[in-house]
Amino acid sequence: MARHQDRLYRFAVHMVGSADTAKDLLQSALVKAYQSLDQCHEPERFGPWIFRILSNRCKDYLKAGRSRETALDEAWPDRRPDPAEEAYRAELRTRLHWALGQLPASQKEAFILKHVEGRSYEEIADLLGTSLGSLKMRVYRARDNLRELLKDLF
Amino acid sequence: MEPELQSYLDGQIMPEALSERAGGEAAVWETIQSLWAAQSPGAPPDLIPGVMQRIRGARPRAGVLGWMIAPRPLRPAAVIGAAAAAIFLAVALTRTLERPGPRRDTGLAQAVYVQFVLKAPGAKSVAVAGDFSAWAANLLLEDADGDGIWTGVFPLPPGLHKYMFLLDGQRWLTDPFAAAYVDDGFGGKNAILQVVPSDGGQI
Repeated sequence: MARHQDRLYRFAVHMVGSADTAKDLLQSALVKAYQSLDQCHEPERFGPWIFRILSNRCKDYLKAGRSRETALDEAWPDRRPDPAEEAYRAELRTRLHWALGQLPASQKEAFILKHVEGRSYEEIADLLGTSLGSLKMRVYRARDNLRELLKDLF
Repeated sequence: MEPELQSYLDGQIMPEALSERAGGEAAVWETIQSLWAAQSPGAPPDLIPGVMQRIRGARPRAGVLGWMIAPRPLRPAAVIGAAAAAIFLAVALTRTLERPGPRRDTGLAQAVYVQFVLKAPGAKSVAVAGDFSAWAANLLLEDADGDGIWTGVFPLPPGLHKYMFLLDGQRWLTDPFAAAYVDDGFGGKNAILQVVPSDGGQI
């Protein structure tokens, strides 16, 4: 489990934009996984299985409109020494967080896995149980939408 | 977005192959990605203790995925640590007892009888659970003379097994004298037991 928890937590933080909520959702997902172990028919695929439980919880959370505007600094403490550089990055983080929050959950999920987690398309498709073509379309649309939302940066 | 930029972001082409315009956009995407990569947090240290807290007292459904069920959810690390440190002293690990003749109705080919021993004075019950029992704690040790030494002999299939002791139906204890240990993924350790076939000698 230890090898999964950091990645799962990071994914949840990016999905819901709050460290506290991400922790709560991940804990809830792990409890659910524990209680539903007999539904995991392939032990070697425990990672994707628990990921889907977590992903569904994040989407339910977002669907319920409980997402709130949270400064990313809450989740990612500032460690940069250069004030000017950090001011720029802090502003960028805030805007990225806002833009990511505007994406449909399915695009957000695919984008996070691709560009935040740095996973391969093949790995993500396996994780989400979707085709490569469908996945790439989601990522492309997420990029297009983000670019539009952040067009003054480009 | 221009196809060449999509290709670049997919890692299919090098930045040198981009047009000047696409190269400028690529630099912004790089900044965005580096920002996320540099500051993505790891799981907080109280994540798993919180999970333990939530599921304390719950039991997994029987007969499923022994590798995963393990005793983890029932076993708050702090309780185990305290129990191991202050209350119990295991005096022996296990040894195999080879018994010729008919095998028991375990359905296990080449089952080897293994004796588990644990010193647990004050315990009202001691069970051993492991992947061999789908982590169901139904293999009970006995302390007939009340001296605090609990023993039990059970048929196990050859191979490597993970196991733990369960005291009084609620406190999980890692065998402190196990030959080896493996992380259970929840901050604790499962003991490892190697059972060799009856024609292969003792452990």
